[in-house]
Amino acid sequence: MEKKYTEDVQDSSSDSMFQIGMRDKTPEPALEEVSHEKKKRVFWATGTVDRPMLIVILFLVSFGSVMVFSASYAYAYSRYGDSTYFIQKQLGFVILGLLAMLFISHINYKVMKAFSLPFYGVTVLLLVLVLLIGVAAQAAQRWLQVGPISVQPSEIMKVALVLAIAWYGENYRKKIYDPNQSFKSKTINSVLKPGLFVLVAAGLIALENHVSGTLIILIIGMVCLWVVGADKRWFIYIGGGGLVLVCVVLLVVWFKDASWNFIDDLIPDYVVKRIDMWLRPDNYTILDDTWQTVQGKYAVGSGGFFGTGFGQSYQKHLFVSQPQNDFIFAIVCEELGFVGAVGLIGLYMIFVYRGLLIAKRAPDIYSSIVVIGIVGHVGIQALLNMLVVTGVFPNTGISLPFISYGGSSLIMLLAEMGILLSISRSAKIEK
Amino acid sequence: MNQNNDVRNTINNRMKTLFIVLLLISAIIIGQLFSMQIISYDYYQGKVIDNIQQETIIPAVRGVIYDRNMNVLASNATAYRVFISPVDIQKNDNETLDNAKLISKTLSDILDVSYDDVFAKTQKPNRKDETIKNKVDKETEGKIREFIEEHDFHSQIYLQASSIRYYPGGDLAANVIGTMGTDSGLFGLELYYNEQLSGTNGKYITTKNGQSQGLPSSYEYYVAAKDGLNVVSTIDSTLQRMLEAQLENAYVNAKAGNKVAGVVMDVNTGEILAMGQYPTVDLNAPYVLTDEAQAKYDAYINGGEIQKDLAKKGITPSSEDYETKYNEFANEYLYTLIYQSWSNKTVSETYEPGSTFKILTTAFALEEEVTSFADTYSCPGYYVVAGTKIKCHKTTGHGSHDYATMLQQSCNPALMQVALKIGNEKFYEYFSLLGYMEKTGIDLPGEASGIYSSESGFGIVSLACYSFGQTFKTTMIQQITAISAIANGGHLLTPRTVSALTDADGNVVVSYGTEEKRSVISEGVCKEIMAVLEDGVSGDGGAKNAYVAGYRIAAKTGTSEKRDKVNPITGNKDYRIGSTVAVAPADNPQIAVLIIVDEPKGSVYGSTVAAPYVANFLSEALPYIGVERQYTAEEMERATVSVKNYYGKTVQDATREISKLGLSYEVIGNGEAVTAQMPSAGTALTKSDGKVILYTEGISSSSKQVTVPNLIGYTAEEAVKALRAKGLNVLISGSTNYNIGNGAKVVSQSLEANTQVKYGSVVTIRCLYDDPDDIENDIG
Repeated sequence: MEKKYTEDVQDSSSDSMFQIGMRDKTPEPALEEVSHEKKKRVFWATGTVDRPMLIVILFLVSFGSVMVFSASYAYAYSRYGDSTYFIQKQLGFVILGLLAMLFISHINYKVMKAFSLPFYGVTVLLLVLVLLIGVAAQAAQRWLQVGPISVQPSEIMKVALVLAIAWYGENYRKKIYDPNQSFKSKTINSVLKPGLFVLVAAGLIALENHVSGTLIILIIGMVCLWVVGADKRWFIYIGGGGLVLVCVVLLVVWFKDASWNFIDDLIPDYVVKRIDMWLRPDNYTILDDTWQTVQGKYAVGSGGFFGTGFGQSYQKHLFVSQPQNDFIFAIVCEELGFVGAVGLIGLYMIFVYRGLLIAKRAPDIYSSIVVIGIVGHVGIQALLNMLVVTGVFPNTGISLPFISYGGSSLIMLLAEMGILLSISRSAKIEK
Repeated sequence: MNQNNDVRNTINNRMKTLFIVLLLISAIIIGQLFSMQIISYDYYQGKVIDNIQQETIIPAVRGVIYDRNMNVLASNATAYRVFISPVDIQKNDNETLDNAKLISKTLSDILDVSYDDVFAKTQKPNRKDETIKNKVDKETEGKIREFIEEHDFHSQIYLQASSIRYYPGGDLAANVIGTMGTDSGLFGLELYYNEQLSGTNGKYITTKNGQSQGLPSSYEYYVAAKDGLNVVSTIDSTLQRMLEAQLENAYVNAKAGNKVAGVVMDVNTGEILAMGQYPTVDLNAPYVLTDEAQAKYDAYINGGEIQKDLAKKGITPSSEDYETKYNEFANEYLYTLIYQSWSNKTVSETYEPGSTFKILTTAFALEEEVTSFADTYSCPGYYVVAGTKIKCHKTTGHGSHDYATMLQQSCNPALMQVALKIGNEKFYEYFSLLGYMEKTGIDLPGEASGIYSSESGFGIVSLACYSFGQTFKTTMIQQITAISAIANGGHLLTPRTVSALTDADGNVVVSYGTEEKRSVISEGVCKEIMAVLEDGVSGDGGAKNAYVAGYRIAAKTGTSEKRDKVNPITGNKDYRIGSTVAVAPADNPQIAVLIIVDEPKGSVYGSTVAAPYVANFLSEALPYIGVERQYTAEEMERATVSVKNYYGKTVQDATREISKLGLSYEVIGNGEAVTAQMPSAGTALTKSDGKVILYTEGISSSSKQVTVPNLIGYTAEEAVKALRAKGLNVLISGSTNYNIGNGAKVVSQSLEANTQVKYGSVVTIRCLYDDPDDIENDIG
């Protein structure tokens, strides 16, 4: 049985553009007919979720919980005298997250589309609030305390930004894709206007001194702008500019002992230090500065081909600090070896692939961009984390999606999955 | 419509690009994982093992060193390191200063260290371990423990037990035994057998987490320590003590500028029974200078020597680094003295043997049958070899005598003539065969090689000089090994100081037997030489001072020039080494003794500075090793007997008893019973001329007094005569065959001259020959 696509698709008479994973499509009845007769179904989504995607998500979450327990119990016992300290909390987050996912997956994505802009607006307000009345954890001020719950608005922004740009992409597609406009006009419509969402979000998060958050927001923004249809030339400029910037930053750090001190004001000290530790690990003592990265690499390398076996990590015994957090992939590598690590990368790639299939069959431009934004965010964040743990990139403080311990991040991720699954109800994929 | 197609197309294409980018990044990560987990696996695995492994060393117990009778020469004792934890002393805010003061005061008192130093250490915050003193003994440890208990200073003061090396004999056989550095022997057997004594440390490997706590893992690895083997030395502590006592006497009497050294070898097995030197070193304090060395050090510092040395390097008191250099030089000299005290003179230093080598020249000649002891040689006081005139020590000449006499008199021209008969080639060959060109291979560290001419450079003048033991150098151990070969019938043996290695239960693990290098001289020749040398001791030879009544001793003395050292006072090369070698018993050789006195002052002759101490040693050592005294008839006559108690006996009974002992008597007073006697019961008197004075009627033994005459410089015979005339008894020590040759002179008397003593008192006189026996001069 085949289902119809949404209004955007209805316009098209040619099916040839959907070639990946789909062969036949027939037009679906117009939404208006349905909404008149079954008003309830305007709010609630219909159709079934994409099973393979759901299974991949559940598998990632379960695997994450198991790894959090394995990685954390030695540290939890040493710190709190209770081996299950972290896993208990994490299971709570998992349940909350799954409930959120379940709930959101039943909401018609069109409702979300309608609220995309206000949602972004509220999130921007929250980010401003964080700067004013936020709660500091460690060095940076990133949390809002609401009664017993603490919220990290930068996490919310990751979703809000995707939704906002998708909304723009849908509503301004004619302008973006107007073939007769000048380069200047195309720049304004496809880069500057949607880019404003990114800049505001990134700017506010940057003000929190939250480098990894800013980085993720910028990456999500780039992914979204890319699929929204931003002028390719600008990606070449931005890419080139970014490359130059990275080189400049590296040079600055490399020569920071010389007389380039004025740059210090532009880049936070701890960023400079982390990059420097990555560039010149020999200048730092393993006992304090490079301990986590070095011990993480020991864990990765000592896993060998098959790993030490599940639960058998040596490095989690207070060598890798807080092994359940950003460096959990090191413990995965140690316990499950090359096989397990590559398997996990494969799982993320399956997740991305399946997500992109959903995006391809998504009912409209909005939903398509939302799905791409979400899976792009998860995929890129996962790979970035692995690049850090394996020592290719300097330590940034990016967690491994679904696997790393952490409530705010996990619940937001699963909420995003809810959106993704909701859209999948409307997308038809050949099984 | 086309626009929506464009949108879809763009999205599809761009998501493909995105996916490809993600796959590329994945490939990078997988590549990195491959590199780390598969290619560099061993490296990372090693790092993790370093992380988690906890290795505890189980120290091996060092073996004990025993002497041949299983007396302990070196063993292990427990010592303590005392340290404080300043951070814990600082913890108690209110009493910190009081506690610090109390601890500093008490520890400085108990441990004899400076109060200020200890107090300074208590004031170092963040330190958990400040050593106050090492090697604290058990008794002191007890006192500190008491103090800790009393004030509950358990977290402030600590005692850490460790094992240290202990030498019960102190300086006994010090240069043979050696001592320990931090983890290895520094010299002597401790160094030579270090590996066997050390054993192998064991270890216990467990796993630990990042905070060094145990891991719940079954990974455990235990290797037991392998304790070191015990070393059983050939040294006999008793003989060693006897030898060392004589070395000290010789050192003191000769006022030797350098060391006095001696070695005793079992001629039939090559085992070293005793080996010592004076001054030596206290093994329990190897870095502390002996009194002699301290005197040298003080002289160096205070006598301006150090300034001279500094000036040689261009450093004057006005130099900028004067103080630094001064301390450097002082320290260097200090360590030179310390290392000198560790050096085993017998093994590690060379000397020109002088006339003791004539035994070897004689052996070569007799073995080659180029001469016999009956052949006659003449000595005009010199001998000309290849145009070089070489003097005899007796510049007036020995005249014409048979070779036996010439050897006993140590006549250089006779020896030169004999050597020329042997010829360069043969002499050089024998010289090599007797071991003078190779190390003996004794199991002690630092054996020196002899210094000798190359074969091509060994000319006729060299041959002449070698014949009486000059112009080449040997070690004492080479010398006594060669002499022992002559004593044992011609077998050159490898000297040994260790006979066996045993395990903790006393089972022999390794046993070292007698090792013969080669047989060089025939037995008949050896016996002949021993007999002639014995004649020289008991008769009128140069080695008369080595005579021991009741024993047959073969001995040869020697006095050699130190031709490579200038006396800074006279400006001449007039330093000498006096030596004596002896083999006993001459008719059935068992032990050989060699004593050398380096740089004697006053009389420099081996016969004076060394021979008497060889004799003293043998007179104690031979009975100890079980050689029975066999007196000749003449010796029997001069044997001593003990005076009995005659008090209360009738004069008749007493006189009968005295006559029975072979003594004479004199009765004073007319009473029936003896009421006093002189000398008292138990005193030794010479059989032939001892006289007991008996008093009756209650006359006191002190009623009759006589004046002791001055005997110094008298011959023995004159002295005996003078004492008898005064009614005094006489005992002779030292070279007791005084009545031969009349050469021996009294050098000391037991009762001081011109004092009043009781009639019949015993005066012991010490007689020595002081012939300028065998000094070599003016060798080209």
